Amino acid sequence: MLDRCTGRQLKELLALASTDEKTAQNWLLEVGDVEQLEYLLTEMCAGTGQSGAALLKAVCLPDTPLDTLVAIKSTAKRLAVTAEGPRREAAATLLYHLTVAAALAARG
Amino acid sequence: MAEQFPETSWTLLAKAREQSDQGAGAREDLAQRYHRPVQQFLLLLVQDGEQAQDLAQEFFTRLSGPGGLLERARPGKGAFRDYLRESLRNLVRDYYRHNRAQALQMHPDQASAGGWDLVELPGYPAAEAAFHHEWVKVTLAEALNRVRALCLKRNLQVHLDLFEARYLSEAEFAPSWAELGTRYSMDQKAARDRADTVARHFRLVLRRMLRNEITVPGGSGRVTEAVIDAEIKALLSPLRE
Repeated sequence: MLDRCTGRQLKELLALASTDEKTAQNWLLEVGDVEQLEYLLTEMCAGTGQSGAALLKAVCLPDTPLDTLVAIKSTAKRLAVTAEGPRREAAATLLYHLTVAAALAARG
Repeated sequence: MAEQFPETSWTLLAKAREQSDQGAGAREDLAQRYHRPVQQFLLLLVQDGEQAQDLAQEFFTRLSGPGGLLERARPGKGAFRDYLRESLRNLVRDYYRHNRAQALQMHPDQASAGGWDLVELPGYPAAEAAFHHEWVKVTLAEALNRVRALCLKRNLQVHLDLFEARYLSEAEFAPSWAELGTRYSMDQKAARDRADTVARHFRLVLRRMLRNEITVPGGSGRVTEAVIDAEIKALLSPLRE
């Protein structure tokens, strides 16, 4: 059943069984699971009309205006501060760093 | 979850010590369960498929023979996989010492100053990594088999299919939840929720298996959830992508 499984898949399966938030958090950052990131951000943005996918997409587009990136950075910061649990905090922090990186890449 | 769980490595070892039909069955189970990690470890150290096979056979014979490895095994001394791996390393050292002794008898001029105790195994880190990789595979495969049986019993075939399609995919990138949802005529949230149901069963099954495997030093300590998480971390850390 697992004959062709990669180390990455084995890690993912093991992480599924962990209840240690730090393991799950490290996993999220290590694996770069975009869907998981979107999912967590969307959960955190519930009621605000924003979606995790839209935020990430805006950050990754090369022509997103700087004002928008600044607004997303503020949102990310707020989400990180109010996050419930390390997984959500990791997701918001990752969005924050992505936004900063995107701004630097676009404007130097 | 009232189902029967597999024997732990240590209880299987204890049974394998018995000189009875039950003991013979346990020895066979042990060999079957751990053949892959043992074989991969030996293969990387001796670099010869046939020789590795012979050594693996010798290892399992030694494991259960009188005065053999089984009799020296003690749960209080640490994880079973560490015990097994160290025993394998000793087997390979013995193998090289034996070959070297033969070589020295034929060519005494090759004697080194290091003596027979200094048998270096340059392939050891790679062999150790391969052993660990296979060990994790064996453990996860056992958990997945049990989860599969559980899901089939509870009519969760689609849930199981979604879980397997996502987590056991052979493609370089696992299909997205949206793709999986389309494949099963549902939205991505429903696909994810169904797979999550199986993931929860998987978590319970694997954690219970690990709980049974873990021995707390001294033998009297309780296996807490934190101890199980630490074991998962110990299994995760050395894995290579």
